[in-house]
Amino acid sequence: MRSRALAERCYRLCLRLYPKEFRDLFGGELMELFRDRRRKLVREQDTRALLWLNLRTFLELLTSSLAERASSARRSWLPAPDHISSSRHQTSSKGTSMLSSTLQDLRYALKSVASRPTSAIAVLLTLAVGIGANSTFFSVVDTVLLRPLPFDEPDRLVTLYSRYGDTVTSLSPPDYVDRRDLSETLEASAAIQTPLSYNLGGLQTQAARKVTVSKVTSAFFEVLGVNPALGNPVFPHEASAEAANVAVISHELWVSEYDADPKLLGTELTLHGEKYTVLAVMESAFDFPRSTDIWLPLTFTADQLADSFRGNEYLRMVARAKEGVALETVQAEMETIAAGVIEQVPARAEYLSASGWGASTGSLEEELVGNVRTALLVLLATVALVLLIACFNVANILMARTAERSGELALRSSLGASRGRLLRQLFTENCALALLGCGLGLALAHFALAYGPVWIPHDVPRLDQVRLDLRVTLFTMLVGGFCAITFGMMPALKGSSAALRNVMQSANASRKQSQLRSLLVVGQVAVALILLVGAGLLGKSFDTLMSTEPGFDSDGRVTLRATLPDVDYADDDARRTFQRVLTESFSSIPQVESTAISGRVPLDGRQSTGTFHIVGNEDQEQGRPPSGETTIVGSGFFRTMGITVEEGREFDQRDATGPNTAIVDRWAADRYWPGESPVGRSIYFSSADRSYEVIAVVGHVKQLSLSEEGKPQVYLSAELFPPSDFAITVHSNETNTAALMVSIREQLRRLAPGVPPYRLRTLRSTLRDSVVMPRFHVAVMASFSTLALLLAAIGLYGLLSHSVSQRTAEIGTRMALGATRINIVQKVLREGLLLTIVGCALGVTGALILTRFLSGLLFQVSSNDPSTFVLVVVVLLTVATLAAFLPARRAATLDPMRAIRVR
Amino acid sequence: MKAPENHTPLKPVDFLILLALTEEERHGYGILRDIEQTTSGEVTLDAGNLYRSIRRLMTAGLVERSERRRAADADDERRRYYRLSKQGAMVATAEARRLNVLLRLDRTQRLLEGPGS
Repeated sequence: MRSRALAERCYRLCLRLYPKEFRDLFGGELMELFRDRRRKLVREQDTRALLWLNLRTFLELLTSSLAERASSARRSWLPAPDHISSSRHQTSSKGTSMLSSTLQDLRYALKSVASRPTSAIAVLLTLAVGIGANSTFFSVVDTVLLRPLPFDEPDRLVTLYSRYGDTVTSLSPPDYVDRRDLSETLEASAAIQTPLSYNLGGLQTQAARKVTVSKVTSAFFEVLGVNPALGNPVFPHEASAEAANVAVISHELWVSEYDADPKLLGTELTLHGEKYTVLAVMESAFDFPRSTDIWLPLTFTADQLADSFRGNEYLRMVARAKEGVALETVQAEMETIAAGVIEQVPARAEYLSASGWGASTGSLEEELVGNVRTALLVLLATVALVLLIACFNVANILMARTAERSGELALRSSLGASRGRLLRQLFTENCALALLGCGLGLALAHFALAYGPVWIPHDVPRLDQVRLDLRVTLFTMLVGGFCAITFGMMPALKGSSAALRNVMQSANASRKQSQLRSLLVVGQVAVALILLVGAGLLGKSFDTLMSTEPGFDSDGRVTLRATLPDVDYADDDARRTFQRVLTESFSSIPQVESTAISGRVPLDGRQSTGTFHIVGNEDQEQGRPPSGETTIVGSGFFRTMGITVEEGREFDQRDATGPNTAIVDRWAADRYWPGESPVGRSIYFSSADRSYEVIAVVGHVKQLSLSEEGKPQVYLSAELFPPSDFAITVHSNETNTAALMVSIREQLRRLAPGVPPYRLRTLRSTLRDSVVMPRFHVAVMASFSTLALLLAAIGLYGLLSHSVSQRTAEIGTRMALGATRINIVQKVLREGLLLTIVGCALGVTGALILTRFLSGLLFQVSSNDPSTFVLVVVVLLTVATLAAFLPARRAATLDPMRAIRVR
Repeated sequence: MKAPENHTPLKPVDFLILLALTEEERHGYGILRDIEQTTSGEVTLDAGNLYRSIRRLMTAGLVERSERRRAADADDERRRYYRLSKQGAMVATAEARRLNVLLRLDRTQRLLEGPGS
């Protein structure tokens, strides 16, 4: 009842579209008529028809009211005609007749769409998917992988490092000053010390919280060309010996910790017990160095700037190159400056030249987003290919649709419709289809972006910032729409209207058209194959990645990090004692097997590479000392992590006081002590006075990522160097990890309330996070290629079922002449498979050429991997057989007698 | 009053409306249903265009509003009936005659029997 009242009220409102005098004359009757029609359907409870009626009525009302307004306008200009024969006064005012015939076209278009809903729906769906899904995928990938840097002219930004041979390292403060002051190619430069962990307390926050701090010199914000959201980030000059207690905070911290309170500026916050005044809040897009919460001023004392301090390499350097200066020029200049340093500082000259010390310069953009160009090209190519398939499909369906209507068009043409009129009608119709398709596509994209991210793993970065990319959306809409309009009109585009009639009916033309349509299907299959191969390769690569041995056992391990403030834990003893107490207390939790301290855990993104020397082997170095990743680990670390100890013993509490000890991994042993055991040998780092005896060889561990081979590894004891910023790993049989985490948190709070735990998580999730990006690549490629496969299958199905329906009579005759059903099925299947095989052959050729662009994303899988190619071809053939089988079966189940009579 | 021949040829829709009113007076919905039935659904008119045509036919004096009202509809002021005027009946006949002449032409016949039909 309510819907009836609503519909009628709407209708009454819409009646106002008619001119007043028309409304006065017929308004009541129109209302009554609408009621009559509805009443009948309501009685029959036919809701679908009711809905259709409402829709149709409103559309009709729209067009006829426009027409009525047009003709009432005409009446007011012209003397009232004294007869009604409209054909004559149509010629007297061409403009309005144009308008009303367009309206008529539109009405006719809607009717014709409704009369052949299947093909119209197929076109609409293809357009919607081609436009919607395509631009959504692109927008997601663009934001996640390729987001432009939020810096001013990012291509001029460079990062500068030192290098020892091929090993890139940080800079010391004097190195930084040299490069800044001596360079002619750099406009401005800044030094960064990061990441530092601080405990943030005070202000609104009750419990302490761990924050990531980057110390930066005063030019930092200017070099990057970034603006604050609030305040003014002016740091004191780095040479001012007194460190000013001022801070700039990230937008994220401002929102999460201070509820985006603008009054925060000028107030103080507490970091490791010291007070800092908040100067500014950065914009939300600014996140450099990555995940920085607070930027503090970096200053140097006179001692730190002296030559004797050159060994302390802990700085990163970022600079803005002068306009038009190439990266290579900067690099060459830096090498010269570094060479100058070697001459200038005789104390280190021998060591530096022996170790191949020099400069390493890179583009900041490249460092932050990696190989953007390849990824972008692969993505754009994928979008283009899927769009191509979608267009092939639209073309195919529309050509079939127009061919089916040839009779109708020929009839209209012989009834006197001019060619122009027919073209205009087809144009209107296809425009309507294209517009509807684009609209659906936009709606789909909007819907997908609103609800889609739920399905993507939440740890993919920047998902919350995904916006529909307008350029790609517009482009896909243009291409899709253009394609729909062109191909929908194609049969009518050639020849005069007489020729049109002939074209519609001649067998020759229809053969030509079906050839074109077959070609389109072949193209679709080829493109789908290329995309499937891409997805297959990435999938196989991901599978290989997941089955590689990381070198440790992630089952049942929970890790956390914590930072001990210097104020409370000033010396090694204090830290050592605390860490021993902490491990013991964690070990006392029920079900816990063992616990160990370490500087870091594998795959957590931390890195510390350095060179070392083997006592007695220095003369074999030839300027290339052994290098490796150095990790500090506590007693029982290898047992806790499930890393095999191949030889010797683990670190234990003896290492705190006894002789200095070290442990190396199998790789280091094989590379630097080939054919002998390193156990019992000694190594040293900067000075031969302090050497470490190797007491064990352990298995190699993937420290950086599953895909990277990594470097030889050296372990030092946490008993000897108790770290202030440390990780702790707990191995437990407890299956309920959430409960375990709660007890761990409680124990830590009980022991040290001022030391907040962070990154409390299972080792398994760390492992999983390390492959988020490869998994994301696979997911993207899989989505695109499934789309392509689906579209290609629809294309093949459409082609075959059209050809079956066109050849009904022929099939009937064959059957009447003795062809069995199997013969018929075979014939149709053969037709479909032939196209598929040709498409596959083309696709394989294309894939062999194109997949090498993927090789950068592949792990231990060749871009021409034969098994992937075979698998993809099999999948395609299977899907094609299925798509061909449906029309084949329909052909086989035709009744021969009725089939022959179709004509 | 003009001669009926001056009104022809009629728009197909106008002719169909006149035809619908030859047998009896009808209201708008009745005309719509009649046209749908007699053309087996080939021609469907929407309400707006129906009344636009009716208005045109009324202006030309071929159709007029009937004051008569059926008992069943007496409760509704708005349901109006339309009937053919004398002039309208004559124009309809003239149009039918015109079409008939055209159809009976030999050439028309050959067209209809020829290929492509």
